[in-house]
This record gives sequence, structure tokens and C-alpha cells, in this order.
Amino acid sequence: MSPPHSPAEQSQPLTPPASSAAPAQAAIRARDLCKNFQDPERGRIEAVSEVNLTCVPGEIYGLLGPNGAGKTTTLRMLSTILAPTSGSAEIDGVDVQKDPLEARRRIGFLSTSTGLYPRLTARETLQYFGKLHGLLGEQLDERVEQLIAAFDMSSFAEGRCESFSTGQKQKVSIARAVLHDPPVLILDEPTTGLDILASSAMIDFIEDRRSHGACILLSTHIMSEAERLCDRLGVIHGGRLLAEGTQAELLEKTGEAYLDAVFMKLVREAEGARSPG
Amino acid sequence: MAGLVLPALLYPLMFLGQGWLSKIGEETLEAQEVRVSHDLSAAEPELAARFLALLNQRIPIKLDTLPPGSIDGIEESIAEGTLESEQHARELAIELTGTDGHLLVYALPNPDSPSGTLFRLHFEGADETCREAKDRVREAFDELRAELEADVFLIHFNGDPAERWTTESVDQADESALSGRWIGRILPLIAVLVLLSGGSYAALAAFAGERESGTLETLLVQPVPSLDIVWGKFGSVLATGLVTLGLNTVSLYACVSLGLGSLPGAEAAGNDPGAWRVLSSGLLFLPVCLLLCAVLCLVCGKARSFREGQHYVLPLTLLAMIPTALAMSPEVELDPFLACLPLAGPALAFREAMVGGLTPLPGLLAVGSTLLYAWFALRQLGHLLDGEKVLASQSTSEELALRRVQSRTALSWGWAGVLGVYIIGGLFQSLNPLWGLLATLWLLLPLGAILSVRGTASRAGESLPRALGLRPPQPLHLLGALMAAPALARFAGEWIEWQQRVMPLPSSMTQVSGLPESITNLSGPWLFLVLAVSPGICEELFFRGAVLSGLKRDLSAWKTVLWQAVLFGAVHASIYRFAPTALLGGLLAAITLRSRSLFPAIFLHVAYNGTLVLSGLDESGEGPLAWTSQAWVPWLIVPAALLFLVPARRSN
Repeated sequence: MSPPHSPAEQSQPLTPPASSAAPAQAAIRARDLCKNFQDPERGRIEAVSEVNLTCVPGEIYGLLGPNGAGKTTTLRMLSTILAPTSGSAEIDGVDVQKDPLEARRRIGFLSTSTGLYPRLTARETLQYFGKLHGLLGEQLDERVEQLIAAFDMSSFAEGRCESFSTGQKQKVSIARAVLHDPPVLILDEPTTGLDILASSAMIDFIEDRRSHGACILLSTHIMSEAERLCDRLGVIHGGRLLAEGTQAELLEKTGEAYLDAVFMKLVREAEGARSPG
Repeated sequence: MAGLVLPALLYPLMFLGQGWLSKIGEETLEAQEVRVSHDLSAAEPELAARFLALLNQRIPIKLDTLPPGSIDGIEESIAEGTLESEQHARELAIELTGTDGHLLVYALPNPDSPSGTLFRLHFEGADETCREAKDRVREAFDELRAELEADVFLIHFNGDPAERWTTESVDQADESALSGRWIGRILPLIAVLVLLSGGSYAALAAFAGERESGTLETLLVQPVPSLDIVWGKFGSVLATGLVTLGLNTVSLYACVSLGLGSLPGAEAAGNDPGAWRVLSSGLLFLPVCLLLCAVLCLVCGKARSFREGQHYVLPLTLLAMIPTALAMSPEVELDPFLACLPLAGPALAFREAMVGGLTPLPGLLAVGSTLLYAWFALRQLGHLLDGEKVLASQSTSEELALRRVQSRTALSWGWAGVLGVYIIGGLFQSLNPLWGLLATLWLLLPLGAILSVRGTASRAGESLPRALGLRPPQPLHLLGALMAAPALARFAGEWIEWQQRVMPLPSSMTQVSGLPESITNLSGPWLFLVLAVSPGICEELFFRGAVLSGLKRDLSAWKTVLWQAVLFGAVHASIYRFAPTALLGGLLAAITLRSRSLFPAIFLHVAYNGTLVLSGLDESGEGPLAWTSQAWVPWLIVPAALLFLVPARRSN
């Protein structure tokens, strides 16, 4: 899979370019975000507790944490799929609870569990989701062509998604997520399950979007990926944001030499504080 | 597309195939030579000669005259008149005819009429040719009888006096009403089946399938209200269901109108029920389409995978068939109460409309109530794609498989038990009703219980008795169980009385118990042991012990109770007893879950069956239920309080 070209290079932005937002304005802002679930067996579970984070345009923010830490729940609340139990969140200045549809217009969301319709072709997939974003007629056709060219999909654009390789599916999914040229990208473990080529292409894509001023919030449990990509990191464990800052700030704060050591130290401290005695 | 069109081709293929096969079958049988061995020496020679002459006309036939004295042994055995001697007579007859299945006919002096003759036929019912031979012999007898009667009338009355007056019936119903009568009975059931089978694929793909493939999550982050997504999906399910139903109805209508064939119960093929009549009556069924498609969406929306959704569709189909099938019983009349029963009301209203006999009030009630149910279902649809529900409990398929393994295994054992009772228990009871019943209860069910609970017990690290729920009970629960039995038995009686209105028992089943004589002839204590104690212990060991033990580990309490009700209703193998036994099964399961012990359920089951046995023994017909005849409901309050409010005994 060759690295995708930036769609922004060839596309006419559908919303104001992300870079046009005032640098001071946060593209993502979460305040005291909480989410509780009621589990029939385990009772009330605090999946996310008082998470505060801010992410500005042109920045990659990584949520670092093990499985079950609350990363996915946080991203799903920010992308309006789940309603927070308490707290608030804004995407590009839009409150996700008050105006979820407007917030969705400003988000490109991609996760390992988001799938493609097996019987639709790559082109039909893009056309379908384009229509959901309000694109019609020539505008839609033009945008779909741009994306097919930008992501080098012309050789399989007319094939059904069920017959695609992982890399081809990944391209279609990315194209689907940026179809409306969103100023904010929310990516839930974007490289999980991908082979080296597809993973590398995904990393290139993320960096490319950052260079074009998009704000990217991603979750990961892969330290090397976090080290390479993220401008700032938030360490999340047990639903709580234990610490955040740049990689250098986190190393300095904890006195550790490596990011995985930072992570382990923060987790141990949090578990020590939680356990009685 | 093929899924829509192929069912529409079903009727032409079925009718043409059925007609062709039956024609071929008849021609084949008619061309078959049959063999008849006979000894008519005991009959009047003239009578025997006329009979043989008539029989000889039914060619191809081969008549063998048996040597004199061939049937002497048979005649003596019949004269003895015992069951054993009758069996001996049959064995002798088989010796005469051999095993190649030809027919034996012989004449004997008629024991009921000194001057008369008894003609006996021995035939092999499992042999198609032999049955054909029997039909030809019977035809010859009937013809002989008619000839003899004509002779008598000619001699004594100068002709048949009965021919001086005759009767003639004139059916005033028009052709469309005649045809509509049976199409009105059968079409609602076909419509429900077709709608559910046609709509289910669309519903499974639109909800369960999308959830499984992750496209539902993708949809939920698009700037489209989730309600719009739900309506779009519902619309596609409804359209698929309606198209399938439309194609099927047109296909059936065309087959009937063109005279390709007739469905069971139809008097003749080729009667056109009238397109307008079908169409206008069909409008009554539109709310049912809305309701069923909405329920399909709800059910498939709950499923986390396509496969899980498929498991829900079959029970839903069976459940929908029960009320709809009421329209097939001509005894069930549409009244305001039945009009409000989901599916039953519109089905009966459709049937009445097809013969032009629908009155406005029940018709409006049927349509109105169904629209109301559909509205409730559609309202529920609005919450179906709530992200919380779609994603909050999202688990990997491996996690799901692990989590559900105990309940799925228990359910498989439950159905295996039901089939075992049907097949093996049925075989036992066909050999000997009493001992067969006891073997089913005391061998089959306990064996099933032990085999079934072994896995559950080993997974939970429990002993077999503990996994079966054989724990010390709370004494107050036992008291509550004993107190509840008479009032519950009265409730069952009331239920059956109500059920008679919607699903009348066939006359053969209205006899006291339908039990074989070898059981009903038992004395009171034995009857109590066979019909109350044995089922109370053995059925509880299997259903509330073993099966419930597995189900409750994965499923919520109400799902466990529901499955218990379905299994217990099914094991009684009677559509007429399904509802009361299912209710009892559900109640016994709830009591077992609440008390955490099997003993209260055993006590209640024994006492409940015992009450019914005692009331059956009582000549007055009331017996121990007499005191519950007034206000039986309050008699349930105290036991219910004891059973459900008193906490379970603490386990060690």
C-alpha cells in the first residue's frame, strides 16, 4: 500500500479549513467528562471519570492506556455516539450534547470496529456516506473522484468491499472518514490489526493531516507509535486521566527515561493510591 | 431478489407437482394386479358367486380359491372371542396369505345374526397393493349390497319406496364466497409466515448484520438523526416483507383462479375468490404487516450478530403462528375480545371479510388494536439505535461465545429432553402405557438430568446434587408451595374454560383425561404415585434442576423463566395444553430461582398434579377444588407472599 496523497491537496474544502480557526481556540475540549455503565453482573461501572483535555488545530493528542482504560469510551463520547453521564465536550466550538449533528459534521471518526458494507463497491461506499453528509450531484461525484485519486484507489474503486485486502479496506475507511474534510479527526487505535505497510500508510496519513492543520485525537497502547506521532500525550487508566503533557514533560515529571516506564510508574502510583492500606 | 421471487413460484410448483404425483400414483395403482385368496364356503352359494363375479370385474385381479378347511383354525379362534385368540386368528391368516401381502377374504356364520353371514377381510395396511386390493373388495361388497337391496325393493315394493321422495340442497353462497371461505382461513397464516420469512432477512441484515460488521457504528457518527436511520431500515424491512407477501398472494390467487389446484380444506379447485375481495380484505391485514415488521426489527436489533438474530426469528415465527392459526378453526368466532388479541383479531376479521360476513365493530377493533400495538412497537424502534445499547455492551464474539456456553448447552439439553420424551418416551408408552410412562419419568428424565448437569457442575466446581438445586429449602417456601397448589389448579381450570372459546378441544379430547385405561383403572394411591409424585420429582429434576442450572448462569432471570416455560410447554406435546403447562413451568422456574432450592418446585408440582388427580377421582367433579370455587385469587396471595417475599435460606 503506497502512502496516500493528501486529499486536502486536491480537494476543495467543504467546511472552513481547520487551519483557518484561531490558534487559541481548542478544536476539542472535554470538561469533567464522566461515563458510568450499569453492568448486570458487576453493577455500576465508572468507565470514564472526570476527564479534562484540550486539543488544538495542527496537533496530535494521544490517549495512552491499556485495554479497558476508558480510551474508547472517551473517544465515543467526543464523537457523539455515547452520551456523557456528566461533564461536557466541544468539537470545534460545538457542544456535542446540544448539537450532536453539527458536531458530527466536524468530525472524521475511525476505529478498528468501524466496518464497510461488504456488497457496496468502494465508489458506492463513498457516494453513500457523501450523501449522508449532504453532498449531491456533481459536487458529490467530484469529491468522490478526488478521494479515489488521492488515495490511489482507482484500480479497485469498482470492486466490492468484501473482496478487498486489509490495506484496501483501510484506504476506503480513511477516505470515508475524511470525505467531508473535517477539521477534527478522532481515531480509535488506528493501527491495530494492520500489517506493517498499512500501518505505515496510516501513520503517514495522520502526519499529513496534521501538516494541513487538522486536530487529531487518537488512542493507542503502542508506545512507539505514541512516541513518533503525538505532540502531547494523556495517560489514562481506570477511566482517569493520570497525567498529560508533551513526551519531554512527562519524562521530566516522572524522572523516567522512557515512555513505557513513565506509563508503568503512573499506573502503579494510581493503583497504589486506590488500594486501601 | 431470488429470495423474493422463488417463494412466489412455490404455489404453481406445489399444485402442479401435487396433481401430477397423485395422478401418476392413481394410474400406477389401478394398473397393479392384486391377489385375493378366498374361502366363501360358509356363505350362500349364489351370494358367493355374485360377489366373486363382481370382484372379477375389477381387473387386473387374481382370485385364488383356498382348499376346504383352510380357515377352520381361524374360525375356532374367532369363536373363542378373546384378545389372544383374535391375535392367533391373525397369525393364521398371515400363514395363509404368506408375506407377499395379498388379501384374504372368507365367510363365517355371523355371531350377531343367526341366519346371516360375516365376511372378514385380512389385509396388510402397510402394503400399498394390499390396500388397493382391500378397496376393490369393499367396492364389490358395496355393489353387491346395492344389488341385493334393489332386488328386495323390486320384489316387495315394485321399486325403491325411498325414491318417491328425495332431498336436494342448494348452496346460495356465490362462488367467490365459497372460495373465500377457505382462502380466508388459510391466507392469514400464510401471510404471517411469508412476511416473517421475507422480512427477516432484511431485518437481520439491516440491524444484526450491520451491528456485527461495525457499519452501524459508522452510521451513528454521520450527521443524520438515528431516528431517520431507524425509519430507513424499517422502511426497507417493510418493503421487502410486503413485496414478498404480494408476490406470494398473487401467485396463490393465480393458481386458485386458473384451477391449477386447491389447498387442503378447499372443496374444489378453480373457484375464483375475486381479486377485489382479496384486495379489500387484505387491507385489514396491513396493520399486521406494520406490527410484524416492527417486531422483527426490534428482535433483530437486539441481536449482536446475524447468527444470534437467526436464533430469535424461529421462536418469533412460532409465537406468531399460534394466534394467527385461530382463523383456521371454524368454531372460533370473532367477538370484540378476540378482535383485540394481537394477530388473532385481524386474522379472524380477514376470514370474515372473505365471506362477506365482517361486522363493523369487531373489524374496527381488530384494525384499531393492531395499529395501537404497531404504534407501541414503532415507538420502541426509536430507541433501538441508541449508541448506549449498540455499543455499551459490545463484546468480541469469543467473549460472547464463552459467556453463553452454559446457557446454550443447557438449552440444547432441554430440547434434547423434549425430543427424547417425544420419541423414546413415545416408544416406551406405545409398548405399555403405564410402564412406558414410568420408564420415561424415572429413567429417561433423571438420566438426561445427570448427563446434562455434569458439565455445569464441573465448570462451577459444584457437586451434582448442588448443581441440581437439591439444597435444604426454606420451610416457609415449602408451605407456600403446598398452599398454592389448589388455587393454581383452579386457575388452570378457569384457563382451560377460557381457552375453549378460542381453541376448542376436539371432541376426542374432551373425555376426562385422555389417559389410557391401564392408568385410569389404577387405584387412588397408585394413581397419585404415577400422575403426581413421579412427574413432580422427575420432571423437576430435569427442567428446574439440570436445565435451569445451566440457563441461569448466563441468562437473566426473566429469560431463564421464559425458556423454562417454552420447554415445559413443549414437552407436553399438545397445543391445547401448551399455555397452561408453559405458565406452570415458568412459575416453577421463578420459584426455584427465588428459593435457590428445587424442593419447593417439587412440592408444588406434586401438590398441583395431586389436586387434579383427586378432583378427577371425585364423582362430583369438584373434590378438593370445591373450596376454591369462590374467589380463588385471594387464595394465591398468602402462598405468593411466602414464596416470593420470604428470603431464601442461606447456603453454607
